[in-house]
Amino acid sequence: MVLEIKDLHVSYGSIEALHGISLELDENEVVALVGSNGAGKTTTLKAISGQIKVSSGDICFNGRSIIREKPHKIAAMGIVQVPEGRKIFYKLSVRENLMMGAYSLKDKEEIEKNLNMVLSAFPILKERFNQSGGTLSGGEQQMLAVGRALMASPKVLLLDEPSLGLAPLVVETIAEKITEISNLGIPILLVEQNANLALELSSRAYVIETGNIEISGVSDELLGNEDIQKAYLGIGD
Amino acid sequence: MYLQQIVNGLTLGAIYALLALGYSMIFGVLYFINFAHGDIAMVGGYVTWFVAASLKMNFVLAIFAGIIVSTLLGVAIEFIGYRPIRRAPKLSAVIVSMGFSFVLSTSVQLIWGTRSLSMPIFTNVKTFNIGSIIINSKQIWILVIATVIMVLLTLLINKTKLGMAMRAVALDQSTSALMGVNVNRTISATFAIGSALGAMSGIMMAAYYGVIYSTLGGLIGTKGFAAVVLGGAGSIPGAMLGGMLIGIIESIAGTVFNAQVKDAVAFVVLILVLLFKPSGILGKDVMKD
Repeated sequence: MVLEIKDLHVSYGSIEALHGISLELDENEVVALVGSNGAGKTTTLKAISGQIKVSSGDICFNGRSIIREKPHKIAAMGIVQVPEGRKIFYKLSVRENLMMGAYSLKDKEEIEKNLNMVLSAFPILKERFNQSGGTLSGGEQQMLAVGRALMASPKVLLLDEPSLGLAPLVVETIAEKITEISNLGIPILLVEQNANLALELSSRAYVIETGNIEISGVSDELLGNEDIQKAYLGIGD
Repeated sequence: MYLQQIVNGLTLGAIYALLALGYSMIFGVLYFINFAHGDIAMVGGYVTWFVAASLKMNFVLAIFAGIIVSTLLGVAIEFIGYRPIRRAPKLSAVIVSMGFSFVLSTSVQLIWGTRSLSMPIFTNVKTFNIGSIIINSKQIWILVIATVIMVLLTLLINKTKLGMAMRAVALDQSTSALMGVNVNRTISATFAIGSALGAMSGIMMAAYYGVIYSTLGGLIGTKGFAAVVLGGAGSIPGAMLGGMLIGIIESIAGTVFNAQVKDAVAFVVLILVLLFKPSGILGKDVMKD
């Protein structure tokens, strides 16, 4: 198991946000974590990346517990996040944003190789190479955020709401890229409010509601089950 | 006559600019004005004086001693004073920095007394006449060293990995951490570099006027602060420009009015900038809380 979350509890002050969630991500998998606003999706990602204190439970990366590690150490292990809202360094150039992604890498050849790969996957970034990140459109910024994550030679990719605020056409492009990245053999944990999209892209999915995993299973089956859709996903009538 | 004052003003301005750079870099990453910065610079000057005048050692060695002590002091103050309250309202950090300012200036008074001390210099002062302008070797040294430092700093910030991390941390600490940046270490590095620049400024100020005294930190500190506000807080070129402008304005005001007015001019500029263009000449709108 690449990433394994066991009975995770997280609190903000006296309010518990996650009441013991468990989740697994294996090699070559795209796993979706879907749920509405405030269900605990981003909290789960923050716990994985070390940005928030875990009260109990465990998170293991390749069998090793990471809950006591600092965020920059976790990133250096190859657990790479594309944060919600893209979080582009708006005053840094596209090139510098990408180089920030490769911050933990020492090998110059590897960085060069990743850069070529990212620029051929997202040709628009090549055109905007020396522009500052803040001048890019929303869709371009999302591509930059994904490209920046790929620069790190990720061993696991955590995508937080990649479709948020993007035009349908751009969402389609991003979805294609997610499949391409998965085909490279990088396991992906996809966190989405857009359940339809997430279920289409993933092989398995977890539905989170008010800090609990309510249901989990094969994405196609969840997509096919009308009751589940009505109850948890807000799809259908 | 004005040309002469511009030369004098540029010299003074280079000194203020070095100090302003430290203020601005620290403001850039932590969004508060470190009022202990002038005193950190002053301590650098005192240590240099101590090594050169009391221990009678080589002046260049004394300069390095001053820089090292200020650097360590700046890093230590961030670690002890600012890091524990990083998430608190910025006013808390400002007040803590004022506390450190008093601690440093009174410590220096306890160790070396309250009288002005005469600062030795490493070279015989020669005076050159270029047309109607008189420039001495101290001014040339100050201008050359300050320019070299500013060029190196600009390269460091714009061309190195550390500089890129510093700019990223200034924009967004948590996303920088997600990229693998050790945010605490980057902030320490910012304090180290800022304090080292401050020490250079304090040493130059003492060497230029030939004296050092415990309230020097407060004096150049407020000038440096005025330079930061004028140039635009958080902006590196702004700090350089603001420093130079304050130096020139001061020198010209000193001749147009009289020498007593000189020290007040920086504050008049400060008030005017805050009234009419609070973001400064090259500043962004950073007053976020």
